[in-house]
Amino acid sequence: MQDDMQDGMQDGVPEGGAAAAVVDNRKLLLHATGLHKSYKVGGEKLEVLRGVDMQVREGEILAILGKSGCGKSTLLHVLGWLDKPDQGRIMFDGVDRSTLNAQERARLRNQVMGFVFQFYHLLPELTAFENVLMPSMIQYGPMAWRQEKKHATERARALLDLVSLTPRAKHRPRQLSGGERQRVAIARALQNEPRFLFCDEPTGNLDGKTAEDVRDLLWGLNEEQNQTMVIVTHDAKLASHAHRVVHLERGRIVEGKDLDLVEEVALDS
Amino acid sequence: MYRLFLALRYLRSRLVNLISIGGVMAGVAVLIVVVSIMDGFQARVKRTVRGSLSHIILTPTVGADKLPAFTVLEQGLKRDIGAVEAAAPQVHLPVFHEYRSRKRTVVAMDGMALHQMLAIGIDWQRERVVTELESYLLAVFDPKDPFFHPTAVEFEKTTCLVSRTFAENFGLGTRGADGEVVHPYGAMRDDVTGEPLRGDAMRAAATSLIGQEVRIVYGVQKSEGGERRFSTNSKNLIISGVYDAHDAVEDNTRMYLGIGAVREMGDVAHEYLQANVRLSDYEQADSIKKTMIGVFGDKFVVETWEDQKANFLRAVNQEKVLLVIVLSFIVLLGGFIILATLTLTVVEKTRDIGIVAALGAGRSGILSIFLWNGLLIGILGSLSGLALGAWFTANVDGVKDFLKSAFGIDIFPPNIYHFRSIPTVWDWPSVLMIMGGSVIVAFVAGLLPALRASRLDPIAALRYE
Ligand SMILES: Nc1ncnc2c1ncn2[C@@H]1O[C@H](COP(=O)(O)OP(=O)(O)OP(=O)(O)O)[C@@H](O)[C@H]1O
Ligand SMILES: [Mg+2]
Repeated sequence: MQDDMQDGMQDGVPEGGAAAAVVDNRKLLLHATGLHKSYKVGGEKLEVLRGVDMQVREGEILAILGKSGCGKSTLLHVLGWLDKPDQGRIMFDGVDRSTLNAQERARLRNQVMGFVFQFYHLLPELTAFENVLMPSMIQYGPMAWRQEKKHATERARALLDLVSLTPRAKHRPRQLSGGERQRVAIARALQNEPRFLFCDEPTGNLDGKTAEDVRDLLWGLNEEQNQTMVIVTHDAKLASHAHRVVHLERGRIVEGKDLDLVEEVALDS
Repeated sequence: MYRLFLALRYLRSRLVNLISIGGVMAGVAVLIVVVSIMDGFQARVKRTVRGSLSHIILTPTVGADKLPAFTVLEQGLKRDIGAVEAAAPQVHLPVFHEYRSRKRTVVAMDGMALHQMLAIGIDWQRERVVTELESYLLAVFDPKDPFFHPTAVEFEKTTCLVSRTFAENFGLGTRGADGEVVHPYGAMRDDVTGEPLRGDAMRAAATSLIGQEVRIVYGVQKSEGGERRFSTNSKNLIISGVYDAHDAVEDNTRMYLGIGAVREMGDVAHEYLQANVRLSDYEQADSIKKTMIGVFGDKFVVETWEDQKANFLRAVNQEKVLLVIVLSFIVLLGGFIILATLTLTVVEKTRDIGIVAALGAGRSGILSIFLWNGLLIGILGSLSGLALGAWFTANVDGVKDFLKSAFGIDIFPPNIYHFRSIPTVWDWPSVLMIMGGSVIVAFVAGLLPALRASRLDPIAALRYE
């Protein structure tokens, strides 16, 4: 089924994008068609997504740009199966979201997708280290945990080291700076070795130097482990390094814009 | 794995949870203490009252001429009724104990007052196998025959067994042989404080009473030439032994004499006025009673000791049931505190719930985080309640004495409750039931908030910022 789809999708891959040619023959990991999502606010319908079509291939870094409030976070949540679209289809690695029940979706989110939230969303009662470990604790039941504990804690430690937070391992989120929390959130997203990483403004609250560090970290992951990611950002510089950039405008995806334009959009958002 | 982990974290990070745990603890502790005391009370009542009463009591309803000889009755009982081990005769005679009273309120002449008692005439060799009297003896001159005393033999006097409570209350042994005061509060009390003696000192004092005299006054009916005559007599009895049946009320109004002496004193025609029966198995008492009524019902009223004390026993049991019901509300209250605090926690932790859900915890996972929370409160609460209740139960007399000396509150006056110490029985099944019930209450109280948490929409929850 996977192969069928990959063949079928070949035509749908956009052309003319700066990086499109590079990723053309890679495996299609995420495929969304006709996504609609609206919110009801005080009796009025706010249409945030109005027919989003998107594909992400394995090993690709895709940047989504858009004005504030245009629905980037909403789109990311829908793509990451956290939220349900009103209409449309999302396939992840050949599996249709709508064919799975809540529990199966939760398991898939836990094991295959990593999420870096716009507002970090760390658990305040837990230390940085425990926050990073959380996805593994959720993955394994009490029995399996005995066997996996060693491996999981080693990985959490290595990830904290990767984001240069080993000295902060025992700190609670409120004892950490914004940038440190962001890095803990990234480490947590990577804990279960996800095939797909969703990042919502990973550098949004960081200064230039720290933002660069985070970018190096993410791009390093892509180079070394072929990590696939979708990054929502305001940061034109960050977007300019992506393999491909798309825009979310008036509830739809617009592809293939020049990076100059990217910069323009980013500046006035 | 995360469920218990997060539940513990939330438990630890919220001080209000301590209140919930404290609520459950208080409920469990109080219930355990009350049930232990009430059980102890029931057990002690059964033991002591039965101890002096015997299992089954036959009271003659016929005149002395129609009354079967005791040996005949005894043989009949053993032959016709299974499970009868032994029987003993008793004759009761109301007497007054004459004592020197310092109180002006007491009707007294020349400082002498009267205290009503029952002189119980017993056949020692039979009595000792039928009731527990022998085990209650604190001091005797001759263990083989508690009614023996050389002075009594020498001067042809009657001997008696008096109780420790009686000796305490009436200051027995206040005066020495030549009449001067040697113990201002009596031999059984401390000369300085007037408090009852305990332990070895109490036993020594009891021994010192042996050979001393108590004076009794009693009335006798006699028929002289077809006319009923009433005359009063008095007698100095020699104390040949002291016992303690641990029943502060009954002990105060009883003394034991030889059955022959009582019959003679009261000019009692009946060979016996009560036949006490001991069974090999008290569990069968009710059915045996029925059989006995069939065989001896024409000449005797047949009762178990529980029949005789039925009202008292029922009152104790009802009090226990009532107290348990009332005190269970403390545990329920604990449940409501859990409900309230956990609901608060869920509201407060809405964002966390969204995060954990986003990381891949299912609804059941989130449900169990908060179920564990309630359950942990229940478990910790009932374990600490167990510890507190056990400590209190073990030290209940210390607490009682402390209350009395510190605040002058006597929560357990012996003349109301029959016992000088608060009896307790540690009954594990009851204790475990109390603990289990409390854990269930905590669990149920946690259910509602937990369900609420599990129904949260993770995305909406994540919007909490
Ligand atoms: N639960 C909701 N109920 C009602 N309206 C919502 C809800 N969530 C989002 N919206 C609205 O949908 C729109 C898109 O929100 P979203 O958070 O996706 O924007 P965004 O592009 O991520 O913005 P930013 O760049 O500031 O993070 C906004 O106008 C927001 O007010
Ligand atoms: Mg956003």
